[in-house]
Amino acid sequence: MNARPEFAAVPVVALVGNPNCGKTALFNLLTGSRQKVANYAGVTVERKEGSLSMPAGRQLRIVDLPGAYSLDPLTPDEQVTADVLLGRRAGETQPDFIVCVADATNLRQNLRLVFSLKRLGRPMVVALNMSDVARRKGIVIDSAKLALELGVPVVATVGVKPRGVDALIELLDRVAVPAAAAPCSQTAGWQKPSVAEIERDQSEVRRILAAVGADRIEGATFSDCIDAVVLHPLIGPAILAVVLFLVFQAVFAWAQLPMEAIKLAVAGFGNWLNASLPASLLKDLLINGVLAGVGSVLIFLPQIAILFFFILLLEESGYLPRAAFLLDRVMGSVGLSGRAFIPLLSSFACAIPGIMATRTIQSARDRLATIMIAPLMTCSARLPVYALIIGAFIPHRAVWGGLQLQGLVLFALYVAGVAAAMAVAFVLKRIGHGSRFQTLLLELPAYHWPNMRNLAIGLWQRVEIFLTRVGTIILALMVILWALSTYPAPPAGAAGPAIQYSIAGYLGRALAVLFAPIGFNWQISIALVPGLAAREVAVGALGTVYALSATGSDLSGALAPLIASSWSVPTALSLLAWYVFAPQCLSTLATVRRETNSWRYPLMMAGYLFAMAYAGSWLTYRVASAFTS
Amino acid sequence: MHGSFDQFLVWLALSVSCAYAVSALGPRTWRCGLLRGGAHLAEFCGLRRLASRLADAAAAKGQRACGGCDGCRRG
Repeated sequence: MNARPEFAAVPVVALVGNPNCGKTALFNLLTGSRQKVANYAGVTVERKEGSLSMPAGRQLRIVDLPGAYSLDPLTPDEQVTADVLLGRRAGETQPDFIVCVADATNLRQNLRLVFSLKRLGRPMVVALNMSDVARRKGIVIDSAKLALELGVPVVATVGVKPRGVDALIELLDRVAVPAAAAPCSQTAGWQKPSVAEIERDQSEVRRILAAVGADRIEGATFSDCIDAVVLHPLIGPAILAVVLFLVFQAVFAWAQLPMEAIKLAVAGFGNWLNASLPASLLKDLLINGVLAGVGSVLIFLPQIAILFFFILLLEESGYLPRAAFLLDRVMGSVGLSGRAFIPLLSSFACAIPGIMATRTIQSARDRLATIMIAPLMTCSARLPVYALIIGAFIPHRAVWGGLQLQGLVLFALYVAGVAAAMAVAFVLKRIGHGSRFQTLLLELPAYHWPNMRNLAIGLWQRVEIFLTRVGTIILALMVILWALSTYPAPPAGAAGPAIQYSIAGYLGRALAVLFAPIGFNWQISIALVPGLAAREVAVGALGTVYALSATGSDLSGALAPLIASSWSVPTALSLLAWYVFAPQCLSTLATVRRETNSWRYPLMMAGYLFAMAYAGSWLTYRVASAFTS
Repeated sequence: MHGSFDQFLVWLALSVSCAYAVSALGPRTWRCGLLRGGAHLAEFCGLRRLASRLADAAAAKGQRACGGCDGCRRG
């Protein structure tokens, strides 16, 4: 992002460090931002910027950069960091000051980057982050001595405590951060360090660690004891399967009460509007357009919140990188690198950050394969569609000793998405000859109790994103869909609901010709179109279309029983199958275009997903029809 | 409710929704054009603060091109 002219004179301070050393946590504390933090490497893949007001009133621009092990990048996210620091990024001001964030519990690895950064010749300080964890582990680092050895100021920080950066702010205030963004002659001529230089750095690291008392090799830690069980070749995968399975059970079991409350509130508001407003077009828009559409999506807020609560809990605890480790062999067998796990996991929230997270993958082929399969991971936007159909067609009863049948079906749908992704990756591997297995090199962070503040912020962010989408784009599309379903008015003496004579009605019937072989009626066919903007819009669209198709009474908040009575079971299963492979939303295609710098791959992706969705739905519909007839 | 007032409110809601949908989902050039147009209109109406916000949004939308997962709204 270009600097705005009024910010040109404000000094830029860059936060640089190894992956997962707590840069973004520090950034959030310094700037008051709420960027995503998690207990694994590779969360930040783009630069983030915020501002810090110093106690003396001076302003600083704080830039959070993706984690890097050196200035010689191996992955696209490391390239961002190197380019910004070396002043090679177009339209980007070179940082005036560097805060090198070093994990105090793993100083041996972090000091190598400190040496690389020192060679840039920029003024810098070292922030010894996670100093509280280091102290608890018995690692006591003499900061003053370390500063003397490194020749730069050193300060201890705790990125997860509100006052954990006070010392850093005080230091930034004390050391004169230069105001001018003058290009540095040393960075202009920066060259990749030679082997001799790297070896010299390593022996210097060893010497400094011994001097400051941080060269103690730890014995078996608490995390190692847990890993002995969790990473066991047989017990580990079983634990992973049970954890994921329980999450999906909770999504249905815990959400019942709050969902009922929202449903009642929506229905109550609808009744109040019905009684308060005189018969008019506006009333029809508010009740059958806005409330029926938006209300149908809003109901699924508790399920989305519960799903993200568990994902954030696993992220915060440090379990997720272990899952990547456990799945490395499976992923390797279909030609994916273990590094693909985190991007694919991010895709369960939304395919867009998942696709962007592929920047941590070194191999271009692996990165492309991961991008191509990311939309097959079930994003949170699909959850309302699944929940609606499961709620309407799958009985709410326990099976096999207390397991929720609805939760089982939801789990199966998520598994189907993952299985499809693996199958596509395997095919891509077969097509792209010369595929070779990439060894997974992954830092396993120490386990820790989830930080409640981070958990609450993360959960609130997901809720906020969902509510913002409901209140903006979904609301706007529902108003447009209502207009398309209302105009033109039916001719005089026309029989049946007015929607049949509207633009949407004609469009739905035209599309129904294409979708009839897979069991979709014209109402479903209409809903698929706005669903391309965002998948959950399909639920709102069904709410609006069915509200307008009905004669008389207000139907807002009662979509599930309505579709249960008007669709056949094969149709419902076919729609579920459609959404397992559903051609992704337009935003995802735009992101793939940007990340691959070509229209070829988004078009290929749209084509193969549409073909898979159609084939999957056709097969499901035919098989289900054969069993139910 | 008076018939023409009713029609006016419905068409106003529809126009705002269409403009928002284009701004949020349309190609970058459309978004920027729409937001810049809105800024000019606000300035013409004497709404300087709104005009400035829309102009800023036009500049930001042009640069972001994130694809629209809304994650960038955090912070």
